[in-house]
Amino acid sequence: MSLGSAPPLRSAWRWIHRVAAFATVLPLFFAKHLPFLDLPEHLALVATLRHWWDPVWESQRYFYFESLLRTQYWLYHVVGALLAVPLGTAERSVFVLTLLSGLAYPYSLRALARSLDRDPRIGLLGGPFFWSQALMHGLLNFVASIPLALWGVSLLLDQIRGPTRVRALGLSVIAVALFYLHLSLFVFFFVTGAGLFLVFARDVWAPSAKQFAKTLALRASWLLPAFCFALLFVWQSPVTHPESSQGEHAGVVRFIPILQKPRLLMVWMHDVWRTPWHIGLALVMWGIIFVLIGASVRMQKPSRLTVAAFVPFVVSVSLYLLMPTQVGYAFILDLRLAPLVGLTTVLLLHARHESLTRFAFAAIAVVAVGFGLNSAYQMHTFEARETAHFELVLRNLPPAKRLLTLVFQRESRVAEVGPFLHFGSYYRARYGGIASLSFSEMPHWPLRYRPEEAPPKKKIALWDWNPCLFRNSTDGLYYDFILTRGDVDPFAHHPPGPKWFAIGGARDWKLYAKSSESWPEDGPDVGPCVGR
Amino acid sequence: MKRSAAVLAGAVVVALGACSSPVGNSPAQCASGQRVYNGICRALCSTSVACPAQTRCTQVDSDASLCLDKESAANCAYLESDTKCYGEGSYYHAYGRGSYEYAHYQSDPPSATSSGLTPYADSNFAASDPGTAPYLDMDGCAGDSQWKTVAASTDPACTATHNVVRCRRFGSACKLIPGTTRETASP
Repeated sequence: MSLGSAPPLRSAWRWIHRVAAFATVLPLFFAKHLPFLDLPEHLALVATLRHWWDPVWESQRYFYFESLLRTQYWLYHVVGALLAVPLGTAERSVFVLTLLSGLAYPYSLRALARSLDRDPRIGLLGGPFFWSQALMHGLLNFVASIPLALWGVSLLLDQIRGPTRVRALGLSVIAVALFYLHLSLFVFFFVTGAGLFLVFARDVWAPSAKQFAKTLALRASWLLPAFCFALLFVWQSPVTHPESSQGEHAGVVRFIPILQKPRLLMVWMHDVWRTPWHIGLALVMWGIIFVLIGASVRMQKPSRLTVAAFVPFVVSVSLYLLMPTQVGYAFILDLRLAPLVGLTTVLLLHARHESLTRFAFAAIAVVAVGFGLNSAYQMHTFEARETAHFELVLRNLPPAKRLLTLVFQRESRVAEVGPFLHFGSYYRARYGGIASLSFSEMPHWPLRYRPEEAPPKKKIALWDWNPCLFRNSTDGLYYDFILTRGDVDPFAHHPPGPKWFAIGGARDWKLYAKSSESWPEDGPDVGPCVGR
Repeated sequence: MKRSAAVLAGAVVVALGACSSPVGNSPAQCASGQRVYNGICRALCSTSVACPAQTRCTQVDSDASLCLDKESAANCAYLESDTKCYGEGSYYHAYGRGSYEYAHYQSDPPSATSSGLTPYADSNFAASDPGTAPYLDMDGCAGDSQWKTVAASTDPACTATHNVVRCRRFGSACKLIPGTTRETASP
């Protein structure tokens, strides 16, 4: 229950909000293979955990679970694995989690708007930020952590203004959950919380330092469990001890020039489909938002809640601009925050009870539904044109084998972010075993390869972006199946090493199985891309 | 309201779990003279005469043809010609006194636009001029070819070749390269 004084939504607006929330997740029903780049890798991880004790899948032969002190990246997948038990498969489980994440965007934004005494119809703007490049890159636990962080900030505001034990317990759970969902949002939550404490410091101020410290400690005691987990992580983590386990990326910290960030903000917030409709709708939406913000500046009376509304905005913009883009094996840490910047910007709206506002929110509702309908059409097109025949290729494969995916043609003509790179992980998600290349090569991933069963390494990690580096004479010895997509037949010239034969195909997907025979070694193994 | 929503959500979860299908029904081992293809054991063949009814002897790789049913090969398919080759990628282009500019790959024809591009790739394409082949790839170039389904005209099926022009990158230019492509067994 929010302590904000925003009036409850009228029945009609409640229904409009529900429709907008439904439109946010409607597109998920239009494609069996969701075009989210890392999604198959998340599916594979959830499935391996779900079948951890299943001897047919041989999960424990290939993987070990990283110590919980060394990874803070496991909550989404463990929940997914538990959900996969009643739902039957990892694909259904991750679908449900994605669905819930999408629904949570408008509702969490509405909750925070209420706590900030803003117009709860601001929640209508939540859905369009779900369909961001963070989602299209398949950063699913990150995407799920955004609404949780917004709920957390909402709860925190209420707690600052009227502390209760139950709410403190809730905050404690959210803080720990955020820590184990995604570190970026934990940082956002923590810094925003600190900023809000400063804004409302007068409420906890006491004349004596001892009393002030006691009050402050009591108000912030809910943070203790997450703080303890964070300390343990700092003590053990490969992020803070890169020299111990990060190989070539040890200690790498890269920044994108800050002047490039504003230009990339719109791209990462809204540029998800190749058609211009999504960006067009986004421009209309932002036009309305800026008109409303302009009206807010003229109308609002300065209050601590007004100042408080700026805190999440300032924190998210600062993180977006100042965060490194890469820390070790963690990539695009900054740009992925773009939807959070959008969500916290719209919280600056404070023009209520005006005919302009009513009209503007009606237009925003239409735009939000438009976002959903356009995405639904794009998802349908993607499934029909680009993945409809993929199912055939992975049908009825033997379990617990080793599959390598070589994607020579990554791009989609529907999705801006090429979604095919990890499609081979559908094998592991359905049959167990290994589907390489996998994030299990990365030190922060909760499931790691057992060294004795790990795939052959190359000089660069995650070489799936460079499939031309495949060498049949070395890599071919390890794998049982090779799945390819694109304009290259890696075996056209019979490279030295094991012989492969086709056991599946559909359009530009091909699946090969290893033969017991070998091709003759009549020259060096120059890889699949030379002399094609 | 909330209670009914919770009951509904629970029912959906139970229903989904109940109808989950087992995975991994792999053919344990295909009999002699057979090979698995798209999850089903198929007879090796050299002509369609040897194939059961409703199936057709179809080439699946350079070494083997299999009796494929209509699900795996309703007909043969090949990727038609590209009519344009659009330069999507870009490179640093040197000009005068060590200066550089960021330039898009040249398109073919130069007026080509990005509308109607397709994501399909052709691993069966062979350039007519073998001298250019080692220098060709697709990175940064996109064409507009579509899959075309054709009736089988050979036995084994799907061995016919077609003259096509294909969008390929040749240095810093995207070009339409003449060559041939082979049919593929495909749904």
